[in-house]
Amino acid sequence: MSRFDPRAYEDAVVKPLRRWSSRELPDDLVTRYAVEPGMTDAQLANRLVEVRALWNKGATSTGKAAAIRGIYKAFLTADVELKAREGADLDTAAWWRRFAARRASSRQGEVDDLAQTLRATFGTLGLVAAGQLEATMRAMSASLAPDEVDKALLAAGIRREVPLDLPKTSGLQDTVYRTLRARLADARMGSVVELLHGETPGFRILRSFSTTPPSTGGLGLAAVEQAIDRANRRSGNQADREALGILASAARGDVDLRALAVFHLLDEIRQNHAHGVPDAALLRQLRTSGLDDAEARLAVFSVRNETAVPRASGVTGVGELLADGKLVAARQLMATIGSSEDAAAARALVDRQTEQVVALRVAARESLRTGAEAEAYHQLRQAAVLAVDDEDLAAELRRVPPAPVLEVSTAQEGMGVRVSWRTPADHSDETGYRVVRRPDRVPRDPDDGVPVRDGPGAAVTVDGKAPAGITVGYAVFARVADGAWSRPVGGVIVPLPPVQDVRITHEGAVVNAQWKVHPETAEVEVTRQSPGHSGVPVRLTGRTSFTEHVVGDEHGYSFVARYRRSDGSMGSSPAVLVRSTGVERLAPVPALRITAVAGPRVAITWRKPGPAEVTIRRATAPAPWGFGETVSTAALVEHGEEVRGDLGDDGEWRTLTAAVPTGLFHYTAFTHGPAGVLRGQEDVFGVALPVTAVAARRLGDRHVLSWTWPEDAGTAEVSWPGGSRRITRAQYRDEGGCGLDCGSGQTVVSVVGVVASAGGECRSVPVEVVVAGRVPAVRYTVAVSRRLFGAGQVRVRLTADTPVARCSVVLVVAPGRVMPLRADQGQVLLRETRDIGAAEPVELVAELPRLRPPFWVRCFLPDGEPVRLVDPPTAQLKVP
Amino acid sequence: MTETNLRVFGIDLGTTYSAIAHVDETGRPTVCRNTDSLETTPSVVYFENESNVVVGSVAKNTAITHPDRVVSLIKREMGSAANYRFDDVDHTPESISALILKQLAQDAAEHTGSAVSQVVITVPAYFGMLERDATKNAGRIAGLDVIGIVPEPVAAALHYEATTHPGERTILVYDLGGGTFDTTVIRVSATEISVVCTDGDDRLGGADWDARLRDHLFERFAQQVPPGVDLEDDEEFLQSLVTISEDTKKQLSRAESRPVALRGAGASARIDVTRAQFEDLTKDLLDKTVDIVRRTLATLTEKEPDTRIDDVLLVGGSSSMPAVAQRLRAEFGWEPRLHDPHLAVAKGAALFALGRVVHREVDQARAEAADPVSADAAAAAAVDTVAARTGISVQTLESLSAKDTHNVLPKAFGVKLVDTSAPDWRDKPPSYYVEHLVHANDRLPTGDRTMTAGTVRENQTEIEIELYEQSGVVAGPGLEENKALTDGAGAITGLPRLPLGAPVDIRMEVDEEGLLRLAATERSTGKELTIEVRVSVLGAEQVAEATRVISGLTVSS
Ligand SMILES: Nc1ncnc2c1ncn2[C@@H]1O[C@H](COP(=O)(O)OP(=O)(O)OP(=O)(O)O)[C@@H](O)[C@H]1O
Ligand SMILES: [Mg+2]
Repeated sequence: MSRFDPRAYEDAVVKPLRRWSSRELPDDLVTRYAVEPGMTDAQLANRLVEVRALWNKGATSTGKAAAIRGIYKAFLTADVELKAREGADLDTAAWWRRFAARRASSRQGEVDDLAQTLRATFGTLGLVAAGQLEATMRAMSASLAPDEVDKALLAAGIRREVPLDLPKTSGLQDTVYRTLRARLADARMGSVVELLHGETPGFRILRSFSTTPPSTGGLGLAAVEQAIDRANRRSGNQADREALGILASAARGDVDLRALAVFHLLDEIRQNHAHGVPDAALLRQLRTSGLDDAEARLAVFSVRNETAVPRASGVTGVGELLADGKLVAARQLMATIGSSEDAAAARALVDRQTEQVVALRVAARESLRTGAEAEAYHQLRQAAVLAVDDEDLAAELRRVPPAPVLEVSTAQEGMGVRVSWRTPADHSDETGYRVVRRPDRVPRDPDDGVPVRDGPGAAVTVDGKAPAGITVGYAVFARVADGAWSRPVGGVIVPLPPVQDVRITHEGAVVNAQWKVHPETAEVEVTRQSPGHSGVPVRLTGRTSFTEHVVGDEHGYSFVARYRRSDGSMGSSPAVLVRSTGVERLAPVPALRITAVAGPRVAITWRKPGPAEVTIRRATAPAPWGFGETVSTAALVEHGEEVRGDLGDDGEWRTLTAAVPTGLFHYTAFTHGPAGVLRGQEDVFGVALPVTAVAARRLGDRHVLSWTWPEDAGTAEVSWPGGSRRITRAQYRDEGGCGLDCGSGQTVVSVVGVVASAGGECRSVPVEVVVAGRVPAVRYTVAVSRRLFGAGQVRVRLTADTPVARCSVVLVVAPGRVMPLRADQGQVLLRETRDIGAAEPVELVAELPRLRPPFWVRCFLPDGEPVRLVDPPTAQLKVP
Repeated sequence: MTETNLRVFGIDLGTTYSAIAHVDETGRPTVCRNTDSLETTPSVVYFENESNVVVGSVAKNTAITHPDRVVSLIKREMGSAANYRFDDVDHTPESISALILKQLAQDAAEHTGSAVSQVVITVPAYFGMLERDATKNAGRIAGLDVIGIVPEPVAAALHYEATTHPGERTILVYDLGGGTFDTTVIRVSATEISVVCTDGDDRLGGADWDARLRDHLFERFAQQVPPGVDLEDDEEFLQSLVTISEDTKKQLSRAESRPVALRGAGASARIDVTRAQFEDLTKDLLDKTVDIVRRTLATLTEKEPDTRIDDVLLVGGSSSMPAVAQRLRAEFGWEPRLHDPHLAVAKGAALFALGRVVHREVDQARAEAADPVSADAAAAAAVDTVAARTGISVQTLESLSAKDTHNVLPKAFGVKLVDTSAPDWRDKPPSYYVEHLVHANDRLPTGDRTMTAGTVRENQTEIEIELYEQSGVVAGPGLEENKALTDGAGAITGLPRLPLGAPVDIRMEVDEEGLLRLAATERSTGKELTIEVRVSVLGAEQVAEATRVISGLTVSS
């Protein structure tokens, strides 16, 4: 017997449990209690004392990490339970012998189980990462001791491995890299290694480069030069020579050719992996390129651990469509069912949901009649959830007036008034707002005054034409599309706008200033602030400029606009303070990027040309000035209108996000300087309304996309990596959605609403939807045998197209005529977790309670199971 | 002697651009502008319909909309048997080049007001006999009388010599054109222009620079378009990108940066490209030219150890890229001169053509004279007549006609032999290699080169001889590093049983025109085999047929 070594014990037994995520401690008590075979009773009792003493110390020691203390505490708690259960027996060597024997036989099953799962999941590569192993054990709620896990790994032929951090960049300019890749492909070279050394099966490169037999020059400039030498003696190898030229320049420029070669080798592997290509195929690909087998495994393993691909579960059949609220689609799919029995079952389901929708619609109309709009809206919303793809219903929902907006506030902004509000939670992107202005009081209906904004978008608008000096009332009305208007909410304000766009030039001793005023400005007071002086009034030339001679080269000016109120008294705007500074260099904006964003709004991005202000104007015609030309402010305002909205900065880049009307416009950037305005880049852009509620369903390798069309879009452009199609509204209606062939992997599909207009097309912001990858299908058959007396039996046979490890299946029986759509709609007969191999069907047998027919027997998967369950024909499921 | 046969033209038939020039009355070579008033014409052919063909910038722009009816970079195919079919008529590289030549001739006729018949066409120095022949055929198909084929660097050197101070100088011509790159070391003097050595890459030129920029712009643009928009589907965009890339490249030779406006697949963006970026993108291409210059200098040192380069001449449109001169300065300490890079070759060709004419007139006059004394006088009179007819000074004409040009062999040629270096070679399957008798950069004519081979089998009654040409840009002895010449094999048969190692004398020679002659003699019997390689892709009838087809086509620019 060895002496008890607390430190060794902590290292070997306690520390490995730090990240133990299962609630249960490993039940390997022999290890936990440090019991050794062949101990006498006395030795054993002594060992238990020693061990418990250590646990007590460890649980309270301040010198230990909380996680370690927690394990000691857990040991102690478990010890109390064990003592209570086993009593004094625990101190006998005989008990421990019995325990060890019992455990050895029962644990083997779990070890085997784990081994099998590991083999099925990681067998191809033979490698597992710590995180993968832990997650697997968590998923299996396995509570094996570390050495048992090792056993399982050994049995499965799988090794723990740490993923390598492989190069994520080539080290070359992107275009140069792409050229290299293309030339290698042209030259039919699988790798940089092959280009340099010819075919060298079994080369190693991930950590360092080697081949058997060794090749001269490794992966450096020398090897490249040798290869060039060889290539120069041949003809017809243009691609090789261009690729070699790139490598030579790269090597001279200190690019790590090994990293480059690895990156190239993995480039396609990474892409294929992202597209769901199985590991075995990736492995084969790498081996074909000549990579050593162990390295190929490690490479795929490392790539696999770079990103985890999310997998989603799929739905098929009418029942699933109904569960998703696709009533119209379900009805269409129902029509395609051949078997009359299945069709009848589907019809029952569809009819039931249809009735619910109809009932809700009737109730909603009644609510509307009695003035309970919120209630009506709620009821229609419920109906819409059951039939999301019913356009009529969507239209009816739009006609219910929305709740009024909240907390309208009014504030001075620029020359105008900024009206902003909060939108109630049930307003959507489609909710439009009309802001109405009138003098003296808040408008009472949408036509009681001048509309200053009409349409969906941000909960803010600026009324650039607000009068000044008098009381002005604003009200905000909401509605959806052409639906009914909400009640008004509003506020009043007395606008006193300050002067705008002050431009000061200061050349020599002359200061020249120009600014803009509100047309109702009665007068402007300008004072010059010089250091140590109180303000000196400045004499103006009119209301919008002055020229004066000054001493010194920096001065501050304060501008106050004054207005006459209706009672004859004067009101003053806040002061605008401007410093006269040196002339700044101006540059026109060279590039614009315009994109549609939800709203409909546009996001216009440009690089800020120094401190100068940039404005964007929107017009129906191109700007009449050339790029870089200086434009007077007076001429500028004649050209279209300024695009106003939210500004956001990202480093040098500024983005203006603004609501714009749909349709095609010219957008031009103008840089404002003291000497005028410089015309910058111009682009033509049109926005359309986007489609909404985009959803995708997978039918094998085909998908059906559905969405709700905006009012004016006649066409939609659907694109996915590797393809695109245009679909008209009529085609969409005929096809019952938009069918696509976009492969078996997970794919992102985007849909753009397109409206044709005179000068070109207006396109909406793309709406993206993730189409789930194809998931393994588990099929099953059901056989029900009933006996006259006593319980009957249900036999379920499960088969899978690819092996599925630990698939959980719930078998449910539900009385009545309607097929259960979820497990909780029936009584659970059986809940089993089994491995389903590709060849061997798995059979489940359950006792059938006595039931009066008709009733249904059906299997379900728990939520989130990465498997698709395929029902047998309804005839099997239904017991008539 | 007639007026017209004094009017001769020099044509630079380039991979991407071509030009035609003549020597005007003041004795200066002048380029004939085309109908667009431009000095160079894109070497692009658009087969509009069965009766009309368009050559030049219109054809180049048409590639955007009709890429499959447009042929460009045809020079790269010269000497190959590539075939093109439009409207059920087959075309060859020669006949398509002929269409370009026809257009040039037409433009020059318009420009000078008289018909164009006698021309000199330039070819890259590395063009072998095959390609030279093809070029000559292209001229014939176009209905022209090709009075000479001259290497481009020689033409450039002629023009250089005519415009700079006299005296013997050694110059290096760095010619980076649209599709090919070559470096040539040339010795020029008042009486002789001879190529010392030449090297190059027949697939390296401005078009490769364009391709890089095009890929770069494509990538940059692709980053600016919303995901899912597939630019690769927009063929018109891709084609316009080709033009935009070349334009931008040229602009970057003058400006440090250029904004590029791109529009494709519904998106638009303006992309700034700086010269530095562009140079970075194409660094490996420029590196390659530098490596080739180094190789040329190494060959020079090997051939003539103490030769110094007096001047470096940059020709070819792509040498306008500032990086070229900068790099040569940095690498070799040269002060390279941009010597009329776009037109030097055409102008030099015009000078060469005139020289040929004077030569011919003088020869004729001498031949018709009764005795040597009167022959000298007749020769002088002939020059005077030409001077009077053309308005060009006697002095200029004399210096032109006095010049001899010499070229070098572009590639090595040799015979296939059995490798007997291993002691047990007899017991193994034979391993072959190629023994080169004439080498690249050997001056033409090479004179006789001889070697003695031995029979390799006991009782051999037949000796096979196979001719091989160096395959790559660098020579090597391996069989895979050489290609067998068509019609380059034969056998000496009917020999008595010869002992092992019976000597066979092999003699090889390449003449000024590039015609290769080989004679192999079995020493004991004196039996001889001779091979003359005069390879031409198109036979005489085929040339005639193509001529008929091409003359049935109207070309317009
Ligand atoms: N300013 C410039 N800067 C850069 N490249 C230029 C410039 N001008 C012309 N080029 C390029 O030069 C090339 C054309 O040159 P040139 O006319 O000498 O070639 P070529 O005679 O057609 O070709 P080759 O001599 O290879 O047969 C084209 O690729 C063209 O883009
Ligand atoms: Mg050229």
